[in-house]
Amino acid sequence: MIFDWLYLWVLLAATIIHYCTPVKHRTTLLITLSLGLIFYWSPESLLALLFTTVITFLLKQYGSKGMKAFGIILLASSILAIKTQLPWAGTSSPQTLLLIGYSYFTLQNISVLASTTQIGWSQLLLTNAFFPKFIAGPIAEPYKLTATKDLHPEQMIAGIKRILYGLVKKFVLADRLSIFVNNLFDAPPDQSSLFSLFFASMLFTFQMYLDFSAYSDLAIGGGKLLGYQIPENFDLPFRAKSIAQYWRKTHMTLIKWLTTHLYYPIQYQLRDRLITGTLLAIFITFTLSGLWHGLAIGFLIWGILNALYLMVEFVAKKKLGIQGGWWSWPLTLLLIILSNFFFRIKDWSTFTNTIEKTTLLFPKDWTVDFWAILADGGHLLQQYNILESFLLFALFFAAEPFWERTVKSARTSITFFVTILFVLIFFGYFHLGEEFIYVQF
Amino acid sequence: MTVFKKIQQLLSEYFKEPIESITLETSAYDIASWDSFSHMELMTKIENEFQITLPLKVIMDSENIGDIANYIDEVSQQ
Repeated sequence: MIFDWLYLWVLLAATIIHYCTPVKHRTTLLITLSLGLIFYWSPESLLALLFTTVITFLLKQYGSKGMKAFGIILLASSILAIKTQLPWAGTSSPQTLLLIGYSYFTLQNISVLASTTQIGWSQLLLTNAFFPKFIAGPIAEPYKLTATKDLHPEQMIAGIKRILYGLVKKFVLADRLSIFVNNLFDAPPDQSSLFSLFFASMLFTFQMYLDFSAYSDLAIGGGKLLGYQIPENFDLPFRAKSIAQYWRKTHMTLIKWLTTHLYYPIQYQLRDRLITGTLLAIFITFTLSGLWHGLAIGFLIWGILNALYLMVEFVAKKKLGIQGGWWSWPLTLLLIILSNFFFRIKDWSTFTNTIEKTTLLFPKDWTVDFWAILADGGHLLQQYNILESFLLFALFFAAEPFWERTVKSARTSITFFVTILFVLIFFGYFHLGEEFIYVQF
Repeated sequence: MTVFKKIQQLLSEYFKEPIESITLETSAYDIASWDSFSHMELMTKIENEFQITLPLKVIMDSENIGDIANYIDEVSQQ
């Protein structure tokens, strides 16, 4: 989502109009609103959406099995083709992107063509265009996106709670982290060290999770306000004790899509040689998952690394009988942080420049070469207060299961709303203008 | 022996779980070691036991052991 607050105003207006409209006209209303907002964001994206939806619908209704298979190949190739057009620089703004939301709704169209179940035109168009989740998912199963007919106050409150939680994750936590991450990655050559890069990758790992899960919270909360259940995308991933567990808790809707359409079919075809088939299925699935993020060497290495982690873990568990221990949690986190270094670096020239300029293992002078860089030459020490930021991160991650339970519970208290609004208003950074990271994919 | 009884025995041996704990409703959510690999290995064992080929859709979409048993029952009656 291009977060210019317009989204929240449109959501508020849509919710009011939605429940004032007779049930039989609500789908049309939501489709019209969504298409209008997408046109405002990016007319090209609207054209791409309508074109692929029409093609998918016609192939689904009238196409032979071969034509549907051709359609799937065409749609999958178009994602990679579109990726080559997108700017990969970290400064990419959604306004400059050629197409937004394309890789998300195209995966949904592939699901429709691969399935044997029929789907109506309005259901397909609504699933693809539904504005709360249009730009960066969660990827919905087209057959399961259905609304409740009546206005449920508890669902409305749940939606508002979820949106506020997402805003806290984005403006209080993720955007604060972005300052430190950018400072460390952009450090001058003589002040960079491997430790700084590792620390930056660690903060980037947390930033990416907070940023993307914040987007998912806004989408899920927005869906609830309009009476729709949008699938969950995260489940406390940093509490995972293995890489396999981590990937069952991160970007869950994409992983589910990849498991259904790639992993299981490959494993099924090779089930006579199940070990080899499983290893191959893991490798292909995760390498393509890397490329889904973009045709860049960093994403490819990130995908391959995660595939290798999973393959080694699989052999260790199934063939060598190695079970986890106290070390499983820190090792999982360490491996994820290492792979995310390549995700953040993206292109080869940035990678070689970063490695060439980094000759030291640790900073020469911790105050000058680490803390001062992290704190923007000392300005952040007063202006943003590093200590305050790190205390907020610690408080969030230490008690994350408790926050999640509170936000998702049916019980609501005034204390919750007062606390979350207080945190948002007094600790939020609304002036940084940081886009959601996953908008670019 | 019914289809379900045979599957129940297979599952019990494979996951080393007491046979009485395996019911028609048993699914991957009930057994901690039931992951994607175990699932496919188990389905292959069921295919070999009943001398049938389970379609991918049945393997992926079955929500519990009862669904698999029902499918095998239907196929064997045809």
